Amino acid sequence: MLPHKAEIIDITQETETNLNIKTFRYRFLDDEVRENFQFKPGQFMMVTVFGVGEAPFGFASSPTEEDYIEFSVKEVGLVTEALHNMKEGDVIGVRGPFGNGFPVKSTDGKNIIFIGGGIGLAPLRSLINYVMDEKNRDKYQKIQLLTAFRSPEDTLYCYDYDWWEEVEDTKIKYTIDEPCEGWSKCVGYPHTLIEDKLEWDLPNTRFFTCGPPIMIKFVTNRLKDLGIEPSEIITTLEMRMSCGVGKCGRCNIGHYYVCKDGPVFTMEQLGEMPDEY
Amino acid sequence: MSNYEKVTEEIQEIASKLLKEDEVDKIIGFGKGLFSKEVTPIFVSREEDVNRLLFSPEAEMSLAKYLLNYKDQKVAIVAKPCDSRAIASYLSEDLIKRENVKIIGINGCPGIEDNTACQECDIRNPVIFDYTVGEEMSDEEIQAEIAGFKDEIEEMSPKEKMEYFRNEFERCTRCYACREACYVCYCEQCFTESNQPDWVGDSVKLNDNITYHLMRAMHMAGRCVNCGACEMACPEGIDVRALAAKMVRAADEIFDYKAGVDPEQKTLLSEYDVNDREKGFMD
Amino acid sequence: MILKKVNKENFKELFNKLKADYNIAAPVLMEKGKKELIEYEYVDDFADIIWDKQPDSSPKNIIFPQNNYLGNDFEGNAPYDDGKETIILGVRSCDIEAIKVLDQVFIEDDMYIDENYKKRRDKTIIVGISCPERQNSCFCDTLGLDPVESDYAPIYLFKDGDDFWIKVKEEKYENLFAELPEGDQTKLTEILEKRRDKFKESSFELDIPIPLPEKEMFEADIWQEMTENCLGCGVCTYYCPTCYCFNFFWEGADGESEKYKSWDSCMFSSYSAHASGHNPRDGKDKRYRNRIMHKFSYHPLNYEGLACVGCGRCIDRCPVNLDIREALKMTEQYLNEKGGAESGKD
Repeated sequence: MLPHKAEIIDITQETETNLNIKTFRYRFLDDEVRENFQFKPGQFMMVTVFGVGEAPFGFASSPTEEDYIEFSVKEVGLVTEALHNMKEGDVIGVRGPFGNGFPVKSTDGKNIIFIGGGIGLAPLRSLINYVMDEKNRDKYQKIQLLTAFRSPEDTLYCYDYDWWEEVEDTKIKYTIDEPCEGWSKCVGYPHTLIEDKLEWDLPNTRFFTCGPPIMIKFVTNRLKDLGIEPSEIITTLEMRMSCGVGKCGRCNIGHYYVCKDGPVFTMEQLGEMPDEY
Repeated sequence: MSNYEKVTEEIQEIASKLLKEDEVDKIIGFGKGLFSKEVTPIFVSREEDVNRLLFSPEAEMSLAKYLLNYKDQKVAIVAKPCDSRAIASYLSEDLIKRENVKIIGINGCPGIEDNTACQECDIRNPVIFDYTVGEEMSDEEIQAEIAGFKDEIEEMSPKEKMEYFRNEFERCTRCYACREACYVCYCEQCFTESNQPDWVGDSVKLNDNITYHLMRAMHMAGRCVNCGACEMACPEGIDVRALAAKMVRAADEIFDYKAGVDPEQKTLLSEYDVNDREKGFMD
Repeated sequence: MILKKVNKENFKELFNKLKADYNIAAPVLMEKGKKELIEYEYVDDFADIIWDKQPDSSPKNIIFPQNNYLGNDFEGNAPYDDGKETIILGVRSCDIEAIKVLDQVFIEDDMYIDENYKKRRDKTIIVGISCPERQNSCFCDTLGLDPVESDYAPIYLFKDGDDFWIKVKEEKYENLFAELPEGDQTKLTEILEKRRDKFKESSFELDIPIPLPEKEMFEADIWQEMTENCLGCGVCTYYCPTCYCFNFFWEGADGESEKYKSWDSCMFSSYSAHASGHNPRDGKDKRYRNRIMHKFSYHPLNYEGLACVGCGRCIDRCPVNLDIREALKMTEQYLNEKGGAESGKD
């Protein structure tokens, strides 16, 4: 399974100072691949930096976007550092799409609440942009989004906030960890804000959340305590991956492979699995 | 030289007493496996298991490293003289607390089967202990034991040495048994696991294998106690000890230094003396 | 299905004839420093082959090499030696079952097939051999395997003194043995009956539900005690015939990108370590738990059958002689104390 070659056409620096996060936009070099490559929100790809290594990244753009695909990278190690040193026009390899993706079909007709923390907002964005797209918007009822970042300098996708807020029957809430001068919006960890800032008890609501493992644990436990059905609390996990197809053995939680049976899991599924993430 | 059976008896007596008088939570020693009848490190905490403890020519593992897993508990440990040196070395590096360890040292260690380190071992009585078993060996007896030892690798020409080490390290599968068995290698993240920078490649090609073993030997300088645990652990029978043993002899010759003989000693490379006879590589 | 019987001399002639058209790997005695080990190597001389002892290594390295060059990402080639086929001679039931496990994972999956493994495996012919008696630390029969005969190998040998019985199960190989004298099935059955009796005496008894109950065993408190003497090296995984975890690495810079597949071990701490520093399995006991659970719970849940074949290599090679049988016994005791747990598969 050889990687498809893709050219980076745009790099956006998302954050400054503490965490180095960039969003990459690419386009496949081969026309046929560009025509036929299909993915679902919530799936992921293995990005190859030739000569250096590979790493898994969730699709951060919606499949409704026809001209390019995006993914966001936080610089933490060898491959991500190499990616951050790349420029527009450089070639990367892409293998995929892998994984099960979000359960989009069964979300038809529901209210949706997204809770994203830090870089965890990136895989959620593929679904957010999908449901907010004018072709799809009327399949869903009220859409709410709570984004949580460490500080105003660590926010992602600022360029999306304006058009998200314009979409019909949509409410966006932003929070940061500690109070900061000049920040007039919410303050505090996301799991403490669910009851007050979101309309969480509308009937037929589905929750999607993603962030650092500790945040996922706090948010999902809070939602369970509030009486939300575990099958309606959906998260997407990450693990160290090598092959991405369930063969190399390392990304397992119990007998599920995060690359093949996930990365999207419901809390109902996670409740039956060993606590190994 | 002590007798294996007698040493076994004495160890069991002391262990029984320690558990009865509640002085320790666990005793780390050697014993036969429940199904395989091979000697394996066992951790005895109940009196009825004390008769599993033994000492035999197959007791090749170095038990000292397990002390790092029990830093806050009271344990007793059966220590061959080389293990006692490892424990002294841990104490000199402040890694374990003296009051938490009861050392059962083996006097006049008769050696381990197939362990080439025992052929040149000149410290046959424990350097630190709370109890001893067996009979002490005098200096004359020890010198008589190792009189015939000759370092064969030293006699080789540089070309032959390269051939020898190439042959040995070609078999290396990078299982890291040598590293895990060695008392010195307690780093939480080994240099092999680093990929920024990528010091050693992940392949089992010869150059990567040699790099790994050379770099590990460099880290052993002044700290290796020549116990041979690395060599015994290797599943491919590679002469892993050779490079580190050379470091041991060099430390002895040039700086009159032996690792792990005194819990108060400083490590070799952490201090210097302006009068050190420095053997530069340009000489 | 045909059954042939030859004496050692004639088998040697057959071997020399096959040598011309096939690469043949068989157990031979290797001098490894101070150790003398029996391992699978390509052989030229029939006299070198060791028939009567269980080899200390499995033939895993022949179908699944430790360092496998996959190709240059830019050139897009995946090289494979399109030369002669390989015969692996004298593979025991445990190792045959292990090859079955590798085949399940790499080529029998409906979604992704490992082309590289498949190409190599298609050119490999397994010739099994019956075990005359229990050796070393093997306990394959406890896990439901038959050391006397295995169904998965297309050609099977039974050695009795200097006689070699050859059972050819697949038609396409029959012509290789066509000219040899026939063997008497009833005589063979007698010999095998006696062998089976020998195995019955010395069995290791074990009574655990297969697959092991996943969540219950995960939360059990026995793993710390089980791994007190474990060093955390990778020897057991490297010599285990069913362990298949691998990793990719790249070499080359500035326009070159050569990709390799190499063995990895779940016992290394960096196996599941995230770049962020988070490690879901950050202790020896957690990693050993994952290894045992994978072999006795996860693999049976995802595929058919265990991923442990009871060959005993991990016990013999382990630097501290940690015994997987002790681990299984502790598991059995734990489950019995909890009052007969249900099997995890429903």
